[in-house]
Amino acid sequence: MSILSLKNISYLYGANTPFEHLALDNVSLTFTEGRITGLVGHTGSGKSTLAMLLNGLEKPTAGTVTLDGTDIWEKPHEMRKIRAKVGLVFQYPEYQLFEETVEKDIAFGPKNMGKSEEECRELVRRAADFTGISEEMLARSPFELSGGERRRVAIAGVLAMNTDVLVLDEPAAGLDPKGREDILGGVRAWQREKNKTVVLISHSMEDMARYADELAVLKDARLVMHAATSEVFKKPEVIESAGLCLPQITRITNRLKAYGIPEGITTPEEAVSEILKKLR
Amino acid sequence: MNKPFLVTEHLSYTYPNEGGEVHYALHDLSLSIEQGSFVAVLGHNGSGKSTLAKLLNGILVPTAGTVMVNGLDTRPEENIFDIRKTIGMVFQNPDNQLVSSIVEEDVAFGPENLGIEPAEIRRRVDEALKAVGMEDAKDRAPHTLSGGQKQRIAIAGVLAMQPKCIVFDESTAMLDPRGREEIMHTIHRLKNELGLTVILITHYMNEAAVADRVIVLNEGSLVLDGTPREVFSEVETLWKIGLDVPQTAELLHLLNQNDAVLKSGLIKGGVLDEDETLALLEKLLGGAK
Repeated sequence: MSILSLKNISYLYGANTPFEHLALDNVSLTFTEGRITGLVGHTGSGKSTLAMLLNGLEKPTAGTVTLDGTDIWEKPHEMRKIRAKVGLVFQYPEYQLFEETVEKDIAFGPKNMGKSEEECRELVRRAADFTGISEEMLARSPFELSGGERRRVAIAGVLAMNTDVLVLDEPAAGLDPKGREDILGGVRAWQREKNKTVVLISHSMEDMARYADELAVLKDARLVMHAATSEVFKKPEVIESAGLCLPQITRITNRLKAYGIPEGITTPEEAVSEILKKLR
Repeated sequence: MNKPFLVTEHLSYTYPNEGGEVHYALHDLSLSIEQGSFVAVLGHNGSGKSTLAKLLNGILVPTAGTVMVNGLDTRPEENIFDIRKTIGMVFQNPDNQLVSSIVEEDVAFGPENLGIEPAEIRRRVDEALKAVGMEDAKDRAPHTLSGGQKQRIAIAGVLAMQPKCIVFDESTAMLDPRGREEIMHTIHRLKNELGLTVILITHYMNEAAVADRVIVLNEGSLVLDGTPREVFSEVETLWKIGLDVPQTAELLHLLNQNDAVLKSGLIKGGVLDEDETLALLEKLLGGAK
């Protein structure tokens, strides 16, 4: 079922100035409830602009953004209600922490949404579980933590708001493999358990292979493909023309078609299983 | 064999801790890096990689042990100026490294501060922009460039100071694949054409796979040190300390867990290259046809 959709969306920066730039050009895209959709494309392809349109931080120059069947710009003064349903996490969110303790920081969002103390405590506890934040860490100052830990606190703060849709702009950028797994694995566990809708922006096709159910590929402000992740990975020409790289494993196994290996393999584990089937 | 250019002996560094507890960011690290080599440094967040980078050009001084840069000890204050001229650094975020509103002025900033003659600065700026393939952008404003282009300007700014070595501290982390490719291509040119020593700190295993040597740090200590082939054949060790291996190495390691594949003896540790892996898989699958 569709929960959030964009219809014929265009977005123009700096209209009628020398800096005029079309960031999105007639994009129509539907996000399905309970799925993780990866939004991929080169720098400047329009990914972050699209993210800001999803919860009304920016207003499209043309086209409509629909949430649960309603145009989000129909009643602009009620945008707060939209933002309570669509959460947005910018890049490097750890720089936005400010409270005395990790617990207070995670509770800030739900508290502002009018949740009771007791509800806040429960929301904080669940969000901390998903992101691997211990009781001991909840009592510490966020400023004593490592970069990776601070990032987890920032993500936990958004999970605690329990929005129907969560948009994450490069949530794992700059982290090591363990840090990436902590963040993206935590988000996926939360999404699966609560049947949430997640929009994930990343340059890492390896992360997309692991976490995204479907992919939307943007190139030069236009949507060039939207399909299941494994289907997109069967089209290396689409990925490469959008300035991205297929995972190494997909590039190799796509060249083994003559040996009966299917195209669109996304992980080494899947490749091993397919190769061993042929060896039997 | 080239002469050692960077030498650390029993190098340790502890960050000041309010609780009085001693935490070693680096512990008893002895390394010798040859002039003109390309060394990748791997390790998870907090393993000591960036601390090592800062110790190499004297931003930090050792708590114990020594760092020698081209024969100069980083501890005495009077050596710092020469050390910083010898080793340039390129950091993660290009936006934090550019200071001027015009590209060529930004590149000139370093040599101007070294007190170089204007004519010589002009020559160096042109040369540095050419080396990173950005000569056509000299009159542009940095904010109109892509992330990869900005990072290349940051590299040109370092090159204009004519260092012998550049340390790249996760300099591709914020770039898209195209930008990363631009930077890796530039790094190869600097190494091959200008003979620069390159230290590349990265989380991307594929970037490390093309270095001459890979050093792996964990909890401030040296865990592995060898050619990419040698290091990436230690799949289990790398996994244990929370690192990835290139997907080719992972695939071959997993395949070798199968008795029939193991018995075939086709897969031996440390194969990296995509074409090499493909040829090996074709051989394996061809035998099964």
